[in-house]
Amino acid sequence: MVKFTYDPEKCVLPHDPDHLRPTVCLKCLDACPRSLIMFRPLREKGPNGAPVRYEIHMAFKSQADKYCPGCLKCVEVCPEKAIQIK
Amino acid sequence: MCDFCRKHAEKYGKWYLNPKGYSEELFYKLTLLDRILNRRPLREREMWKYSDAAWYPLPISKTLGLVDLAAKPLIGGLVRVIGNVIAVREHAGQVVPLEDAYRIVELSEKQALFPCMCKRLFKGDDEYKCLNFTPAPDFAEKHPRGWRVKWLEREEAKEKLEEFSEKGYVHAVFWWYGLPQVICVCNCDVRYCYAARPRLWYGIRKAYVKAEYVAEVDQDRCSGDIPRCGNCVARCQFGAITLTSKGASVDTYKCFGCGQCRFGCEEDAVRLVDRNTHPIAKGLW
Repeated sequence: MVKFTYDPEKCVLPHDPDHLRPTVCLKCLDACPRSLIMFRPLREKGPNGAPVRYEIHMAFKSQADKYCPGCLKCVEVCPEKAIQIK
Repeated sequence: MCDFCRKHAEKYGKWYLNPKGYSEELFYKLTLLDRILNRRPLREREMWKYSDAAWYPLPISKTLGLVDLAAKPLIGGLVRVIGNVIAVREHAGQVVPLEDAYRIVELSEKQALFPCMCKRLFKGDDEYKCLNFTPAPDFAEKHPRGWRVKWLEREEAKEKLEEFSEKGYVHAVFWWYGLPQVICVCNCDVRYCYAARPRLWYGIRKAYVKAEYVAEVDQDRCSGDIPRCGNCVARCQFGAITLTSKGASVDTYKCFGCGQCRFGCEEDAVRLVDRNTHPIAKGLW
């Protein structure tokens, strides 16, 4: 059973108004061979209605057993050690 | 052609070749309820919401939860039925070969490139490869938090499509709040595509409908030269082609009819045939 845990305290993804999305890091997104990891905005809204910060989560969670290869590349690549896979 | 697009094809053969789908008239069509409540038409309201998606990808976040439920054992079947209905009603797509993508560009008025939303969310990278037609880019420009778009000339748009085709991307035409309104031609990499994965992984079939064509290999022409060739296998994103020493063969059940395998073939052995006349592929959408 693949369980994806993410620590938002360690990984901070601020909003970049020039690119309209987080531009820092996002190494885990690129590392995932099945593209299961994505970012999503948190509910908190700043000026102009833009999200203040984002978080990382695993999409298609119920099928993760089938499609997550368990390669742990996302864990390896994270500089803040914010991702854990159990 | 399946029922839900047959009635929009009229005399043009395919729903996406119907010029009505590119008209502003259809986009701004008011229903009786809209008139009574004195509000903007549905497509415009939804487009305005979608223009915000660059900053706040709510449409994707919302549907993600629903798609994920489709894998649950008991309610999964029901969710798939609901998912299909929502896809047809709101926003979903059909694979088209390059030639048809050219014809779509000819029919459309103005073209602009958007960054691919799927690549943005799942790879954290902005690649301008989603070819949208007016009025979608106008809304994005008007919106205070809208997408950044790149306007193209018609010829440029065709060149771009050819460039994407060379990279092996699958072209797919997407409709917007009811057929036959065409909004964009996506150039998808199926590995991170948000429309193709619900189809391939969860069986929500109408989120990403197969093309009107299916690939066929001419066995006399195919060399089947395994260590040297095999471009068709490499170019097929759906894993539909197998290559043996006797030649390549297409799994008709898996083939989406995108026609990308043709461009890798040195012997010109692969061709697209009409799905409706194919004995096996007929009715497989």
